[in-house]
Amino acid sequence: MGTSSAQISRVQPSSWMGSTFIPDTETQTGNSAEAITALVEQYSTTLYRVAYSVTRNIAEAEDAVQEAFLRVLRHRNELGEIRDHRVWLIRIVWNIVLDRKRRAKTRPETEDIDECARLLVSSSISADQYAIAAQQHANILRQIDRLPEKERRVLLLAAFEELSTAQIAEVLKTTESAVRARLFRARRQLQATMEKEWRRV
Amino acid sequence: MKERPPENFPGEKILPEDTLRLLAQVDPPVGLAERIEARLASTEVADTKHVKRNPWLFSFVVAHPRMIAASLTICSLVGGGAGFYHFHKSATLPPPVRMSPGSMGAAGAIRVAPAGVLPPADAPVRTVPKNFHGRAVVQAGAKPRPKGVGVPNTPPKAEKVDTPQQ
Repeated sequence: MGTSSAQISRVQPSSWMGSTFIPDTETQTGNSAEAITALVEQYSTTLYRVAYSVTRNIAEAEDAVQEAFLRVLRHRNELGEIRDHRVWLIRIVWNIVLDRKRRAKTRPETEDIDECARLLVSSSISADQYAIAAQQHANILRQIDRLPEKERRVLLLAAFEELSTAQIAEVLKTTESAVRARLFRARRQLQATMEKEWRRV
Repeated sequence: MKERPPENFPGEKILPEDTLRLLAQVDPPVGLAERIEARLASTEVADTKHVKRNPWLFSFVVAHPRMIAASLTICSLVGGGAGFYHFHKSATLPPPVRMSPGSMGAAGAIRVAPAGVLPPADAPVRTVPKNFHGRAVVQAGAKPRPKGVGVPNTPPKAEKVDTPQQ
């Protein structure tokens, strides 16, 4: 999943990267335009999933991804200095969604959780099974929301198979040992609460 | 979290890791990349419009004259307003007073002896010395004052003149 400059340069730039650039930086901007287009093609889905895991709202997640790429566009001259574009982009979108979530604390999230839970269920099962599965997903999502913030963040990022512990630590700006400890605590706490839930049911 | 729930729980349970895994694999909305590129394009065009170079001004950036004009306008408005609301005639100050030494202030004070007071030139000359012992002094050769009640001197009566009867 890593991005090399060769991969980036192979992708053809879109029509929006046309001839509207300043002549003296045309070459540089043209290259960065190709690079940004490649990044959009390659990582927009991953970024959307990261954003959706936090917001659980389709429109907000897409808006966060767009905002992330706008920031990339503003810092296009620094693209060459980025070691790992994927982690860098995930970190950008992660900060955006957390910032937006912090600002919009008053907005009720119940509808988003139910909608998200329905989205997680396969449509190939019967209506009864669909409703039960959606309810269970919603319960799990609510239990995840009750976890401490640091543990919850690590748990959400750890669900992405392509992210290693070191990369999660880089996104969260912490150490790998801290990530492992938080992940362990989050899983244990979540399991305990879910067992209580199952027994209650 | 890798252990399945106990067997005595009825029904198929969904584990938290299943939910998290599915959450991390959500399909993005159709046309996400195209919409992102469209937004980037609109932003890019907007940015390039602002910094487009003007060939007639020797590649002087167009945005700069606008900024200069805007700042000049703001400055003139602010300056004009300030001049309007804070106008007052400047008072002409009197020339500075030069203080002679000893006239004002303790720092330059010097001892000046008081000048003697002289009588005016046309003042009557006192011949009799002033009595300083509290008793009246009769001048030599003075007549004694008349005793009794003083009668004012009456003017002489005019002669009676008969007037013819009519």
